Amino acid sequence: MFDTQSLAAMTELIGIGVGRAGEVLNTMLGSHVRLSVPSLREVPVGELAATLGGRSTDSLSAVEMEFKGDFTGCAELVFASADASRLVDVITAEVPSLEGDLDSVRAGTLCEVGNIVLNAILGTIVNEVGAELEYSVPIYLHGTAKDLLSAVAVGADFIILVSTRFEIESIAVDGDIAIFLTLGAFDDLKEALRRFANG
Amino acid sequence: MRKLLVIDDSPTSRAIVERLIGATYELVSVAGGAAALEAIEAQRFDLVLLDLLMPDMDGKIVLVRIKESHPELPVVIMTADIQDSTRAKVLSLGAEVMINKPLLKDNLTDAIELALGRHAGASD
Repeated sequence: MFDTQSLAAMTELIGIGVGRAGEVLNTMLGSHVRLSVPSLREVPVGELAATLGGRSTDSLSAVEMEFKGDFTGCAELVFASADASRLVDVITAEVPSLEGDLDSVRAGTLCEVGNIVLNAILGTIVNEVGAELEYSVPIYLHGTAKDLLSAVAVGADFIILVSTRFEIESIAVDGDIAIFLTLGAFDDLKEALRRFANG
Repeated sequence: MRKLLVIDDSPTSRAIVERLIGATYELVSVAGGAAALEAIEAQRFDLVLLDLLMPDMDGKIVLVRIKESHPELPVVIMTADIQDSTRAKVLSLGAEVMINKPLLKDNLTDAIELALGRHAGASD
């Protein structure tokens, strides 16, 4: 588990990363994006479904990106499907030349959003702690929370669950960001955070 | 009009590039590294816009192949990856410029013109 110092450092880094994600969403959407202060919890995998609670049976849309290197794991950007649709509508309105069926446009557009948002957060963390990651191509997932969790490819032991709310002018879009880490990666990250916190 | 090859597996990203600079440059878009290498052998381009994270071939490998076969062809990397180590790596592999997504018209145009200018300067 995170000690107090590491948790504070992680929260600070996530806050910077989410801020950067907000900036890039703002740029993508051409619209002001307000972000709530992200909350951060570490959750054992077995307790995640219960942690997600009311969302466990909801239809969700997610983008998943695996990473390896100094830490191994994966990250997901998760939206309620209705929120994802509103987000895609805003972006595709800006690029009317997009061709293809609705599902592929939706998946492709969400993957691009996820790619940029997850990179903003993970990239901020690794740049600050002097680490390096290689990313996989982001994939689109659709289903309940249980479906999404079963699709997590890495044998994660812990999940850093970051919850934040994106507010895009007149449409409210809720988004969750989950970072899944193996136990070894968790220890590596804690050590890196201690170094970061100690300057 | 300058002719640019756009290499990106994301249709959304290719459409955004088209919307931003389609009126300024002649664009040929492909969805992966293999198609890109074929296009470069078949046509003459003034510059390449290259994504890094692609399913058929890693963008860094595409970059190396391009620089091996066409060292004179300037390459601008456009990626969501903001890692300092990634920037250092692609520049060491011969990319002229790296810019981060999301793309803005001014940033993209500036990167293209900077890369074209550097190439012209290197050729003088």
